[in-house]
Amino acid sequence: MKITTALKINSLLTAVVVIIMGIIFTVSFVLRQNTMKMDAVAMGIVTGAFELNALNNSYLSRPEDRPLEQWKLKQMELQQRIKNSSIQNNEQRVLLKRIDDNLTAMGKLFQRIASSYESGRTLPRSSNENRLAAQQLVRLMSLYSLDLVRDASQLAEENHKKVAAVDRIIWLFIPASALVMVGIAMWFSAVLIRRIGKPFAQLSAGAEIIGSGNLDYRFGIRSNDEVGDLASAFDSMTTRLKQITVSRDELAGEIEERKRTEEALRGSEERFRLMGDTIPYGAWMADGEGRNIYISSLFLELVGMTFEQVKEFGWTGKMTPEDVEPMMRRWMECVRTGRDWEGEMRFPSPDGRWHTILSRGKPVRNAQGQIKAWVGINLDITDRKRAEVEIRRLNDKLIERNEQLEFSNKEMESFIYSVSHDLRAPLRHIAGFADLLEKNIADKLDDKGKRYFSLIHDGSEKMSRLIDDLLNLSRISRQEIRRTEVNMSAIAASIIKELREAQPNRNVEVYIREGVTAIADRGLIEIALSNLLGNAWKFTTKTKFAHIEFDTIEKDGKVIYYVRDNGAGFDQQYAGKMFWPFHRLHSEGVFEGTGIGLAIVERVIRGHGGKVWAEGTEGKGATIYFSLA
Amino acid sequence: MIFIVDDSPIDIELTTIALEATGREIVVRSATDGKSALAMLRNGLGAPALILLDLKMPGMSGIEVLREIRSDDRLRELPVVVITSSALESDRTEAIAAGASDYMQKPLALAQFSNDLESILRRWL
Repeated sequence: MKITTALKINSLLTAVVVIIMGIIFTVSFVLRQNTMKMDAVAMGIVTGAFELNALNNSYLSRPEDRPLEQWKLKQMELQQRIKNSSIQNNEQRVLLKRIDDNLTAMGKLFQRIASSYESGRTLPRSSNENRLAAQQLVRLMSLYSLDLVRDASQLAEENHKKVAAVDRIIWLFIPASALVMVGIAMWFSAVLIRRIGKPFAQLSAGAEIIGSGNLDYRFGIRSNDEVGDLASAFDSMTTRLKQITVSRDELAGEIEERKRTEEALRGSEERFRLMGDTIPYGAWMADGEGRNIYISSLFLELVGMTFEQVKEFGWTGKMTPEDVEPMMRRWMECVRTGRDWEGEMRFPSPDGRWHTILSRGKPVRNAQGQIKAWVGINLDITDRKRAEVEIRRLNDKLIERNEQLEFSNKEMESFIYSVSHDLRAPLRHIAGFADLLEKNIADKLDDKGKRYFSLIHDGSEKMSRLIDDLLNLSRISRQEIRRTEVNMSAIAASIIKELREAQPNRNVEVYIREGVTAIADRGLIEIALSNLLGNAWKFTTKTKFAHIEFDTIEKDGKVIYYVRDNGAGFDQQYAGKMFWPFHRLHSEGVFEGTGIGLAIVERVIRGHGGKVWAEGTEGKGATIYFSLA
Repeated sequence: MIFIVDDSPIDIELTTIALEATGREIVVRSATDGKSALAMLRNGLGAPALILLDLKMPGMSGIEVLREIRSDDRLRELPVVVITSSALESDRTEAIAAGASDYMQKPLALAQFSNDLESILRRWL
């Protein structure tokens, strides 16, 4: 129950009690008043009775009109008073009725008395009847008077009894009401103490706790009244306070952070300026809106402007008008999006030339990620650009040259091919008719002549072989390479087998490493290995314990193949020349050959994108290395 | 009759000598260019027992002559052996593809040439 409700009830009860008391008091007062009035009536009647009696006697002694009138008046007065009196109960009514009737009877009697005296005035006083009648009447009157007094006295007594009773009630009621009032008052205090006093103490104690800084304190008073409401209001307030305090702390922290960042930014700005004036690039700074706020003197000197002219957006001042708009657009786009800035600009320099400047910039962000500034450099790339142009020009030239070279290479190959082909026919004619001639004059020929024809024959054969080699060479150069996985070891083995079959008498020790493979053109590799192994075979002819190897080594992660022999070897200083077509490092008499073999090998290897080189020692042996791309 | 088509008369002579060296009795007719060869074949030459055709000829090449022969109903069935000094594999394949009955590279030595021709004759005559 709410306290106010309790107090209201309290007040209500008090009011009720007071009202009841009031009513009772009023009622008793009124009762008393009435009773006093009745008392007065009764006393009036008693005294009236005596007066009537006296008047009666007075009339009897001297029957005059005045006492008669006064007696009538008195009787009327009394009856009037009776009539006017407020009757409170039946007893009173009865008594008053009796008194009234009595008075009426007395009146009538007095009337009789008066009329008898009236008529008797003239009568002598001596008539005994009249005297007896008169005495009877008088005695009756006294009886009536006595009754009157008696009734009136009873009435008075009754009243007094009543008044006393009322008084008793009243004097009982006062202390009782007093007690009730005290009881109510005590209850009132109890309510105040219990429902208000104690909780308030709790609340103020709690308030102190909160006030001392403990914003986590909650009252937890759950009573369903004003105290409870106040307590929960307090709790909400405390919660809110806590929130505000936390956000205030956060805010303070943020402000601190921002101050620190700004200081740091200022510090770095200073450093940037310092650096900008020191380094040989054009350093610059802009604010968050893209307005230039610093640019190093190097740049200013280059373009021949002052900082006043350059700042904000003035740095486009000396650029050609058509370049400015797209440049600005791009710069503002970067400022807006925060993307790194890069742009090339052309400025006229005081030295009369136009300089190309490469400008690069990056945004500087604060802790919230907002762009506060831009920093960047301007590089003079005029020279670089010129170099670029030159390089491009040279490159184009190179390509052209390459194309030309390739073309002439192709032309040469075609030339070689057709020449070789065309050389064949005449050679055949020579050889053919030489043979015929030999047959024709066979009987006329002496040894010398026979020898001459033999030499002619040899010459033709040699030339035929040369032509074949040339054709081979040119064919290989023109051939397209079709790569597959080839087993080099197997190819080498079969070549060696053929060589042995062709010259079964020779005793050559051969080592071929197993499982050597490569991605290459099978046919061409066969030709190359055939040449290399064939050479090794040939040049070990004069070696006692001939030894040939086909093996691999690894260098820089690449496979290097090699064919080694311990034959005649060669002078290392001519190692470069030996790969040229027809170049021989041994005279014709010592080892036969056209000198085309290694040229063919070189073409094959080159066609695969590889390299071939040789190492040799005269009389000790030779090793031909090659790699394939 | 063996019909030799070759742009060099010397080659024709050598070939004839080589053919004779096989020991057979042969009649040799010849033409030195494709056009006249075809003309002769079509008109009045008579069907040769074998045609020996050179590849490299000015004007109409041997391949073209070969194609002409093979597309001509009257000449299609004739045996045509391509003999050339070329050592190219591609020439051989091209000749065979164009319809050559056989292909032979002319060797340097006359004796060898004669031997090789002998095999051809044995095969196609």
